[in-house]
Amino acid sequence: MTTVTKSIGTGYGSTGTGTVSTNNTTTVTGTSTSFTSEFGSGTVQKTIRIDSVVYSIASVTSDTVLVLKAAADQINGSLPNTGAGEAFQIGTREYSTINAWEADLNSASLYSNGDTAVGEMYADSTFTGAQSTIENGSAIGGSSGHDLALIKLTVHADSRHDGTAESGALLKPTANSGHSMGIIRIAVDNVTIEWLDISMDSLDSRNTNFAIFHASGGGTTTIRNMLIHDKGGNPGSSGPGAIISNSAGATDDIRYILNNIIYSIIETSGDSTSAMNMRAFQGNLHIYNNTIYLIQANGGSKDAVGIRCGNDADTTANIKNNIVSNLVASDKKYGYLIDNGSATLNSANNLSDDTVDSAYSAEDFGRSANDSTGLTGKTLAEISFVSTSAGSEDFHIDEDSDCVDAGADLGTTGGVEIDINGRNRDSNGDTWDIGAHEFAVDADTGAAFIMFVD
Amino acid sequence: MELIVKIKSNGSNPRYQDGDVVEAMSFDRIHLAHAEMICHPNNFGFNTNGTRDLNTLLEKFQQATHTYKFERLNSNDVKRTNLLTDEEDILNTIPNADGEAINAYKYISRRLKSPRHKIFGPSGGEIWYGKMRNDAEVFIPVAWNHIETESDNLQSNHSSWPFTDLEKRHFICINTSGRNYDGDSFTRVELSGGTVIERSLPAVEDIPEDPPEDYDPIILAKRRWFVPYWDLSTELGSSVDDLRNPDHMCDCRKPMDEREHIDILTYDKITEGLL
Repeated sequence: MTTVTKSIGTGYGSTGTGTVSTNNTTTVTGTSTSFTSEFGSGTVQKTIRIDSVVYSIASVTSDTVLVLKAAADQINGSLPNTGAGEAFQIGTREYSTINAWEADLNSASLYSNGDTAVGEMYADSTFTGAQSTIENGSAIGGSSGHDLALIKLTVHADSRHDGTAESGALLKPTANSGHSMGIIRIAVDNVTIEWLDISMDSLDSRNTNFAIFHASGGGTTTIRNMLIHDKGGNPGSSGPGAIISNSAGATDDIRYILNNIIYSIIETSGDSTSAMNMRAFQGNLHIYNNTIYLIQANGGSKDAVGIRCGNDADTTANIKNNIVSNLVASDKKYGYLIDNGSATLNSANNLSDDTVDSAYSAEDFGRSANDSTGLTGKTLAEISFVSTSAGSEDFHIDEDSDCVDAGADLGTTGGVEIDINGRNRDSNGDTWDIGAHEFAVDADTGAAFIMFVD
Repeated sequence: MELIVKIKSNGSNPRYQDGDVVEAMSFDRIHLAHAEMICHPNNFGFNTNGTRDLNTLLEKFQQATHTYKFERLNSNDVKRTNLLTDEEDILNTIPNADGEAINAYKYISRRLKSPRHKIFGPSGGEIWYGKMRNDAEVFIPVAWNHIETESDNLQSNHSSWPFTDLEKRHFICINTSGRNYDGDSFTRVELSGGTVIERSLPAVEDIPEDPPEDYDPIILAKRRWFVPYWDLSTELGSSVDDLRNPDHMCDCRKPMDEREHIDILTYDKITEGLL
């Protein structure tokens, strides 16, 4: 019952310098290095990168000395130049792609029954894989009943976004995922996806329509602190969406969708568009503190959807502290929609702007909910995002936003207290804001390094 | 093209089958990954303003790889230039016809709090770039030209995917090629586009013409393509026992002039009648 964390990225670990020398074998003598702890001692199955080229290691002699394999056993058939002052890098990530990490989740040499598997991504380079289905982690080592307790795909603290695009670990596919497959497809119970920036900007002419898709087999999940943005074009027979569920799940499944920023999801050829469409799900939903901006449908009877759920009477939809803004459609602009009148709705302190149809506002949810805590008809000036400019979007709120101090305190449910910047609203004693960003005087005001003087 | 291939599988009905292609990397993807690592913000320092210097490799890389350039003109105005079309407009706190607005001071101040920020230039005249370009085949050569000019790195030394040590033990890492024929002779060529992409996709049933609203595609197999490595010891240059040994690091990649043709290494489960 342990947490097994594996790094995902293309980069290397620590760097150093040393001397490469040859006397029957080629030896690297490092300066103040710790080869033994980095690689282990004796014969090892590891590599070292010297002047940007990867070489296989034969053995580690000590903390400062290691021996390379012969040229014939090197990938490029050669050995590095000898000499002092050679720059090297040691310690690769454990996996270079999400799919390789996921493909190893059944490995008995890495995991045991009841473990939590954490894939920790690094912003070494852009992740461009077209499609990843998360569904392994059962029958570990071929043993029935040996299952992971939780699968978490996260981003290392040093590689997390700052709330804006391309500032942290970025998943930007460049090829078809397949229609209604999802860039990340969740098809197993107990999955968390967090802190990742998913850009759909290269997919305008692709059949990819969904960013995160809950498929059959998907149960309890947490999607939090994500950036999902920039889908355009015509993906095919179903319009685009950021977080989607076409699986009912079980009535006791729980899905947390927390502190995400979703923007610029645009259909250009005759389909509806959704930021979140969880209507098929019949379990317990907690949709808290999300920020949604610019969801655009195309076509005469097509709708723009902010948050939609509850097609089943068994659904319990807890929807609080969300911003839905700038919906564009020639038909319905569903800010908030609960499909089944018998589904349970617990709502509080949501905001809808002046583009949302009044029947589907933060007050009414398509069912005349009459939630007096909802803020409706707000203008963009009243919401006051830092930037809505294409290519430089920033959906943090300003200190004069109507969202500041207008949210409900949601405690620590599912990790909702951690805002899009990683600020802990709970431990800091904040009065909660609406949306993914918690404006804080100490963190959000004052010059960082620069004051402009006209 | 480089491939990472699953070895062994667990359980009576494993999602990944022995030999499934887990991921495929095109030449562009490989070159982009290396370029991004070389031009990573962590490799560059700050000036006394806390911004990045102009005309550095970092800035040239950003310019080559992004769609928009933003230049702060004064306390309120920002000039946005579309680097693909040279169109320019001015943004500020007053929304334009498309509802676009920006509080430049707030935007820049917040970015500068990150140690990985990519804000360049003097205080009050900051420059930044937005929205990574989508035409990799165009911008990657430009970016590498900058890298080769501004550093000791050569693109030719960065043509292999940085598979990890663990991947080399738990999977098979191989590369392959296409062929351009001239009569009976041929030259080996890199593969790109759909040939690469489809190698790592699932096998999915055909989508109905008018799918229901809650359509969920039926997955026939987690991967459509596989490498029957158990029959390819000679081609891969490793014994099956070594390939299947998770304690043995195997890197079966070869120089271009020795690479096997893609049709020798990869097989379609549907064509082969396995699905």
